[in-house]
Amino acid sequence: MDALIFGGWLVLLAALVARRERLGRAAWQDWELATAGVPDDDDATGLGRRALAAVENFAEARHDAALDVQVRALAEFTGATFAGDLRARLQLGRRQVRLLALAGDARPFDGLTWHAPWLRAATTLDAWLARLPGEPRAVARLRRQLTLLSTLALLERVRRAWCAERPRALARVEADATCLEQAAARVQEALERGRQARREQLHGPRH
Amino acid sequence: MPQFLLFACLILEAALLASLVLRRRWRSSYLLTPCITSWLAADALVFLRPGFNTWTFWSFKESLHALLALGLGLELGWRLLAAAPLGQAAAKRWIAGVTLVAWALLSMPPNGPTEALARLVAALAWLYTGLTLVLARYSMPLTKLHGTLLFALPPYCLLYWLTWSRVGDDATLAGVVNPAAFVLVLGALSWASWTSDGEPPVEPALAHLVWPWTR
Repeated sequence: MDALIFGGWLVLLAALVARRERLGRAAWQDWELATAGVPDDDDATGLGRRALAAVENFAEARHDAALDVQVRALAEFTGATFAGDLRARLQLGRRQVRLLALAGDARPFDGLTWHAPWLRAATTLDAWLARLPGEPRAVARLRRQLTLLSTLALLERVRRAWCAERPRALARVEADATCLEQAAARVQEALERGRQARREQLHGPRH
Repeated sequence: MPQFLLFACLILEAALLASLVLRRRWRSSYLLTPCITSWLAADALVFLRPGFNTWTFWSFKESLHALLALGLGLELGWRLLAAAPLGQAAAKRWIAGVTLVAWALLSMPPNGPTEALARLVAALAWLYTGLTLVLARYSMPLTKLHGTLLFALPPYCLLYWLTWSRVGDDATLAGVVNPAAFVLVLGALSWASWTSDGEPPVEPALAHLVWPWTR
């Protein structure tokens, strides 16, 4: 038994020695990498706004008053709703959620400021879609359009980054930014074209 | 224990306690100050009144120190992983595992009067080293004081276990080697406590996230 106690500890020590750099300066680098910011924060918050605008456009296109009310409510979503939603969906710890929520407002760290609005928009939109009444096909279409934004993929990726590979993999989430932003622009254009087509259908072509 | 080693312990414990108070290092671990205070008080009693060093007193103080060291390990796991809840969850699993192993070790019939305590202290070595592994897994940078605690205590715990599970076999081990090793541990802790960690190479907000006690 003595050999087991001592030998087991030696194995632990050997594993620790192999990872000792993760307790010093390299650890700070990991954290810095995980929370590395993007140069322009407006780009990030812009997507949240555009995603919301896309839903607003959809509501406008359907001339649905009830939907309008829901969209207003959605636009006013609070940090509390966001935190509850996010925690349940991503299985994050309270502190992580608090940090993410804080990041949207107080900008304590650039990196978290970057993805908090995205998560907030994506999570709330997805939750809202789940409760959305109305024509199943229209809902399905909107869901597809929002899937273009890769919201769920982003959520899943961030969840993995936090849960499994944190903090190094979190930096890789950054790579999604450009794709999502382009997708958001495409959704916006598609909705704009749809709205224009509907106006033309109702009032005739614009000269 | 030779008087000069006991005196060295007293000096180093006082220096360590002074740094915890004067340099406000107590904020980095709430249990470290009571731990050092109990070491200092026990050693001062034995130094000033050698008659205090009875078997009952020795058993009491050693058990108290082992319990405080256990609490200190749990506190370090909780505080150093404050920014990583999943790391805290991993630490909890590790602590549960070590508790099971310790329980199994303690339930075996001891060979001598001090064997049970020695086994508990051996479990502490596992606890501290495992926690340090979890910290490394979650990339938690350590201060000098925390690093010294986590790296210096486990080897000492194992030496303690080796000494007191074989009490009577080797008087040199119990009387000289073990106290000398404790002096070395105290010296390293005092040095780590008095020297500065320097500014973390990141933004202050991020540093406060990872080291919440520096706020």
